[in-house]
Amino acid sequence: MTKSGKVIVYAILILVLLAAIFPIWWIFATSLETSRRAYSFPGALWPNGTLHNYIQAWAAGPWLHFLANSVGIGIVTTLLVLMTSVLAAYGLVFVPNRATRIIFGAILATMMVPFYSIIIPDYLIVKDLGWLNHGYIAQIVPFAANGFSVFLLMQFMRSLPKELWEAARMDGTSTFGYLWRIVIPNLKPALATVSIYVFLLSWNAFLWPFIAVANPKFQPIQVGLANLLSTANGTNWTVLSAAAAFTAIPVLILYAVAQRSIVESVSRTGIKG
Amino acid sequence: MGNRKKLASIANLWYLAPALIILLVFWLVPMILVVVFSLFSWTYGTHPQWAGLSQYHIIFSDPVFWQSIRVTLEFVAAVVVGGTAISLILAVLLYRGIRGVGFFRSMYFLPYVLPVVATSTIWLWIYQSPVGVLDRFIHALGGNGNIGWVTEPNLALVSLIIFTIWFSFGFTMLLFMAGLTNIPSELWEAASVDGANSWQQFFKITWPLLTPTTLFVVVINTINAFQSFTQIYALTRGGPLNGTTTLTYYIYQTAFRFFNFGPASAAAVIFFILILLLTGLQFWVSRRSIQYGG
Repeated sequence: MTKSGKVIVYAILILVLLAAIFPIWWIFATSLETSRRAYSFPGALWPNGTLHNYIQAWAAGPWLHFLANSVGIGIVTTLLVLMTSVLAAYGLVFVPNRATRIIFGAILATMMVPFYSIIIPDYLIVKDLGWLNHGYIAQIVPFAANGFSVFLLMQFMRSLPKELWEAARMDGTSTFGYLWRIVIPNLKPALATVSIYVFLLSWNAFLWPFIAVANPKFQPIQVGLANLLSTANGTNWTVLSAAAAFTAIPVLILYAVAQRSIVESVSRTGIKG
Repeated sequence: MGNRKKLASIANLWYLAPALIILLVFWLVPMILVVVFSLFSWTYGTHPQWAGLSQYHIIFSDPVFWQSIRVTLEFVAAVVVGGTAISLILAVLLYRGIRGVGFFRSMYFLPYVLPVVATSTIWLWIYQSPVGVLDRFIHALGGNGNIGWVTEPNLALVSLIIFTIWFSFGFTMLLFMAGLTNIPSELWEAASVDGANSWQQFFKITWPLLTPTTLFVVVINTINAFQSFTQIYALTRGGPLNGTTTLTYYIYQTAFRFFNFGPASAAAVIFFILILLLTGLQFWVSRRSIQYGG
């Protein structure tokens, strides 16, 4: 690349960088600002550091509770998905028979179903089961398995050398013992990928908990923030920004710690089978 | 022997049972149910009544439904074309000979991991007219400064598109970067020895070899854009004048605000068919255009 070409490339990259992170900066800049200065340009570009909005936002809802709900729902859902999809993928790859082939088709078919097209029956099923407004179960069980995770794990299991399986069978290892002692330890990157995928999906879930969970005691933090946004719409942006910061900060911390594996996992989910 | 084998295969089904039960009850059966529901006239609290195809007739004669189809297609087209182009350009720029690739990559991706409700909240504040930072900035540059990003019917959809591309381009860029690592670097080296400039290298090597990835990104982008809801709810509530009512918002509104389950189910069926047709079309096009295999 020529020197001027390089300058242009860096200029583009830095401009895009500013566009990508300015809104995130703006959450914090606004939330650390007095409301008078927040409305004056360019006053809030560098905030004066008041914590007043955080105190006010904190009092506007049970944030710690919302947060605990989101984290708990995310972790439990992730563990359940890991369990159901490891078992299913294993059954499909290592102990196939005629019935499993049909089941494989059915599981693949669920990947084609957009959630918004089945949300009405799902809502009514959950209602008939008595799960509506009844704790966390409606937010967890319908998402405790997903076709994509099964599919992804199958791809990884297929790449394990066949000789390993034959040798273990010769040694008299049981089918389940092979899964537990050999397959799972060799599957760690795939399990990390599935975990991050499922946790982010669960953390970002909005419409489903919004309609299925009316009791604030069980609502995740996204719904809590959306409800604050609709009741306080257009009145107090500095306080709303502080509330938005509450939902963003846990993710930012997680991203700071595990940025590398998150980025790698997500690029891996994008690789075609 | 035969019995033992049968026993073994039933035991094997236990591995599949947990996933299968959940996927059946909450994904596959509902897919059939939604089609059934769409044939009944049904509001909340009343008994469903057989209605034949009349629920489809209701939505087909609802101008808001047709508008929501148009809005959805415009939204999807803009997000897919814009988002794919931007992320492809950035992936290619980042891929070769840039310092701090990791830093740029993780910063571009950051908006995607943040909760959409949180980022929508801040964008709603940025979009406020005339007090939001965007209008103030335009005002400081001598412009109008009272643009109405989310309140002008013609502009609100554009604002949603900008927001959606903003939070998702980092994700599709990662997919492109993963695709680029599959291209052997000797190809570029050989081309540059032969005197090909950057543009020629892009159009003769990168672009054709990246076609499978591009198709994949386009399909993923299409599916995701079709299923956008959170930012629409948070930023515009489908308004103004239904200018941002997408099909997902139409389904939500009809089912969970007006409690008209019949027409909402009919719209959900149309929604499913539309996604299936569009992704199917994309695969069909790609089958014909990929020369290098996937």
